[in-house]
Amino acid sequence: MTAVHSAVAATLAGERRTITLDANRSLFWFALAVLVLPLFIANPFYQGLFVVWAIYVIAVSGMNIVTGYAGQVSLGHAGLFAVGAYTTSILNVDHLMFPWASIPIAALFTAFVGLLLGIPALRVVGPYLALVTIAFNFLIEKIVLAGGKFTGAASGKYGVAKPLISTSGSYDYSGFWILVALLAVATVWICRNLVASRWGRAWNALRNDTDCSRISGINVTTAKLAAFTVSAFFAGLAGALLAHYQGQVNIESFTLNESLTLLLMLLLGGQRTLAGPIVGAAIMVLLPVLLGPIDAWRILINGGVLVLLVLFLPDGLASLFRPKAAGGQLASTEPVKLHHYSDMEKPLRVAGISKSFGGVITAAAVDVQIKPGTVHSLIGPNGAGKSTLVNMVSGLIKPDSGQIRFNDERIDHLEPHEITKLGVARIFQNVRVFHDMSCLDNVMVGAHCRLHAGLIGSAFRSDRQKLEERQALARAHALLNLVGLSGRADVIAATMSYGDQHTLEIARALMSDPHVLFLDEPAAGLTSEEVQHLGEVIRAIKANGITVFLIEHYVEFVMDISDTVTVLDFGRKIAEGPPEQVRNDPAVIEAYLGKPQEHGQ
Amino acid sequence: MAWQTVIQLLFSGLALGAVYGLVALSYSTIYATRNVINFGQGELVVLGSLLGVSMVVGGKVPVLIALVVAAAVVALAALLVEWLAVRSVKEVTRNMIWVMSTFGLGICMNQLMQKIWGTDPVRFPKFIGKDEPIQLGQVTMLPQELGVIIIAVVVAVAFEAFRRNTLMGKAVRATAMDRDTASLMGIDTRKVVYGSYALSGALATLCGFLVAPIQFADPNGGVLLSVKGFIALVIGGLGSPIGGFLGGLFLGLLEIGSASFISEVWKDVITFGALILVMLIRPSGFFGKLG
Repeated sequence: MTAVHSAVAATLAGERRTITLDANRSLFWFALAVLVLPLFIANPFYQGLFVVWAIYVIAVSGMNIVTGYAGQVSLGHAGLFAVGAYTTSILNVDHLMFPWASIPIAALFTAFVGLLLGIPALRVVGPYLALVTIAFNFLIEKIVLAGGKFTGAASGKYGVAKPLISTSGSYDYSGFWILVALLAVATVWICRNLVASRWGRAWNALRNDTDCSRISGINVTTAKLAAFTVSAFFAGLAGALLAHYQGQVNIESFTLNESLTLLLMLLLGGQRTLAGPIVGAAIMVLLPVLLGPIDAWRILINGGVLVLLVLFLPDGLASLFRPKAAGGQLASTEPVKLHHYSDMEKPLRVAGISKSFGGVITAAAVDVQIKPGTVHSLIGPNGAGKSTLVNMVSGLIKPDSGQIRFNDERIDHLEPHEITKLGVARIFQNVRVFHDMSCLDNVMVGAHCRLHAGLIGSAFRSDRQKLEERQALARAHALLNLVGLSGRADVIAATMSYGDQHTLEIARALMSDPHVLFLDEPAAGLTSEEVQHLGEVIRAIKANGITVFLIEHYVEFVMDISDTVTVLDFGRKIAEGPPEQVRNDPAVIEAYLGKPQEHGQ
Repeated sequence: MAWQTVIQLLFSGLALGAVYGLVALSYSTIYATRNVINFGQGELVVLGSLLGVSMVVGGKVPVLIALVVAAAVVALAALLVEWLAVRSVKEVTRNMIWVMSTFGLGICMNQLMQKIWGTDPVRFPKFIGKDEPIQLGQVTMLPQELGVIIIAVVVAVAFEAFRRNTLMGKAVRATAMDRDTASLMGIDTRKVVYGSYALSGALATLCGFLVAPIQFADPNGGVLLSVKGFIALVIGGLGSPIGGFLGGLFLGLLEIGSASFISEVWKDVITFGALILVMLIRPSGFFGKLG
C-alpha cells in the first residue's frame, strides 16, 4: 500500500519537474525574444518604451529589496532616483565626464546617500520611517530648487549626453537598449542571488520580527543599512540611465508622484518576487500609452489602483501565478553534525543581577552558575522573574546592576546578536518564528552569524559563498532531522502547529552553534507526547555537549531531565541543587504549597 | 533686527505652528483608535479650506455656518478613509500596508480636488478682524494670526481635557490600548472609531479654515501639510496629542525663524533636517513614549 503511494508520489513529483522545466525553457525563449525585439524596431518611440521599462525594472528591483524583503516602506524612492540622475548630469554637463564614468559614480554616490537615509531607519520604524522617506523626497526636491546653477533649479539641466547611435542617417536606441537590457538582467540576477543568500534571509527575518532576528544572531543595523544601500545603488543607476536617455533632467520628474509610480510598479507586480518588478514596470510604462487621451487622470488612477491593490491583491499580480508550495522535501538521512563542546569548558555565570520595572523588582541580586555540559533548570511561580533573567542574559534588556559572565568575559553590555555569536542562544516563551518563511529558511537564519559572505560575494555568488551555503544547508537539514521536522523543510512556518513551531525554534537556535542554549518554557502548551519528544531532543542536545538552561513550570519534566535545579521566588533565589534535594527543600515547598498551618495538636 | 520685528515673527511663527499643531491633533485622534496614521490627512485639511472658499467667497455664506457645513462634509470624507483604507484592509497592522492605502487614497483626493477647484491656490479672506494690522504698543500684528493662536490653543486644551476627564475620552483611550478588551468592557468600539474619525475630519476642517487666510487655500498643498503635521506629531511624541500640538508650535517657530534669518528657499530643508535630528536623538519625541 505504502509502496504504491510512494510510487504515485514519485511519478507526480517527476511530472511536476518536467512541467517546471518546460515552463522554464519557454520562459527563457520568451525573455530572449523580448530582449532582441527592440533591435528590430527602428522606431525610436517604441524603442524608448523598452528602454524606460528596463530602467524601471532596475529601480523597482532595488526598491523590492528595501520595501519588499526588508519591509522598510519607502514612499520617497524618487528622491534616490533624482540623486542618481542629477549626479550623472552635473558630472557630464559641467565637468565633461564621459557617461561610462559618470553613471557608475552616480550609482555609487546614490548608494552612499541611501546609506545615510538608512540611519534614521535604525532608530525609527513603521510609519515614522515612511514619513522620513517622504521628507527625504521633499528634501531632494527643495535642495535641487534651491541649488541655483549647480542643479539648474526649476529649469533643470540640459545637454546631458544622449546615447544615440546613428544607423544609416536615422537615429535609434539600439545600442542603449543593449546596455540597459544587460544591466536590467544583471540587476534581477543580483537581486535573486542576494535574496537567496544570508542577507536575503536576514531581510526577511527582520521584516517578520526584529527582536527575534537579533536573538538569532543578525546584526539588524548592518542588515537594514545594507538593504538601503543596495536599494539606493540600483535607484541611482536607474536614475542616471534615465537622465542620459532623456538628455536632460528636471525635478518635475522626481516628485512624490513619481515615488507613487515606483511603489505602484512594485505592488502591482508583486513585492517579494523577482518577476514582480518586471511585470509591474511593464504595465506602468504601457499605461500612459494605453490611456491616451485620459492621461490627465493618470495620477488619480494610480492612487485608486494602489488602494484597490492593497484591498484586493496585496501580493500583486505575481501571487496569481505563484505555484503552490511543493511540500515534502526529501528527508535528510545525514547524521546530525552538532558541534561537540565538552572539551571546551565555558561556564556562564550570573552574578547578582537585578532588574526592576517602575519599582516592581523582577529580579533581585540573582546568582546562578551554570556548569558546562549539564541541564540546569530554573523553576518558580509566575512572576518570579524567570523570563526577565533570560531576557537579560540574551541581551534584550539590560540589568540594573550585577554582571553576566560567559567564559569569564562580561556579556551584560553586549547586543543580542553579539551574545548569540559568542555562543549563548535562546528560544522565546511565546513561540517566535519568522511567519512567512519556510521551515528551512527559519533554521538557516540561525546560521547568519556563522556565515561570512559579504554583500558583493553574495551578489555574485562567489565560490566561497556557494560552499558555505551548501554546508549550512546540509547542517540545517540535519538539525530539522534532529528535532523531528525532517520532510517539512518547505512548509511555511505560520502554518505549523504550536508544538512544531517550538521545536523549529530550537533547531534555529542550534543552527547558531551555541555553547549554552536557553529554553524558556518549551513545554508550555504541548501535548504529553510532544513533551516526551521534547525531552528526547533536550537529551540529544546535551549528549552533544551543549549546556541547556531550562525554564519550566512543568515540575515532573524538570525533575526528570535536569542535573541542577534553581528555584526563584519573587525575584530571589530560594534553593539550588540536584533535583532530589530541591524537591524536599522546605523553602521550595513553602513557595509552591504555602506555609503549613500550625495546628494545636 | 528691531525687537518689534522679532515679536512679530514670533507671532507669525506661533500662528503657523498652531495650525501644524492642530493637524497633529487631528492625526492623534485617528492614531488613538488603531495605531494608524492617515498619510492623506493633509488632503482633508485642504478639502476643508476649499469648501470654505467656495461657500464664503462664492456663496457669501457666513464663516461660522460654512465651517459647520464643511466640517460635516470632511467628517464624512474621514469616515470614507476609515472604511476604504483602514477597515477593509485585511490584517491592517501587518507590514504597514495601511501606509500605502491611506497614501493612495490621499493622492486620489488630491487629484479630485485639483479637477474640481483647479491647480492654483485660492485666496481666502481674513475673517477675524480686517486686513489692517492692529497696534499693540509698538508691535503690529494681524488680528487673524492672533485669532488663530487663541482658537487653536483653546481647542487643544479642550481636547486634552476631554480625553482625560470624560468617560467618552477614557473609552477612546481604552480602545486605543486594547480594542478587544475595551469591547469586552462594554465599550462600543465601533462608535468610538467612527466618532474619532469624524472628529478628526472636523479638526482638519478647522485647520483648513485657520490656515487658508494666512497662506492660501492650495489644492496642491495637502501633502506638505500632511508631512508638516506629522513632523509636529513626531517632535512632540506620537502617543501624546498635546505634545503633538506643542511640536507644531515649535515647528512653526522654526520655519518662520529659518525663513527670515537664513533663507526662504532653505526653510523646508532646515525643517526636514530638524525632523531627522529629532528622530535620531529622541525617536519617541519630546512628550511621548514609543509603543
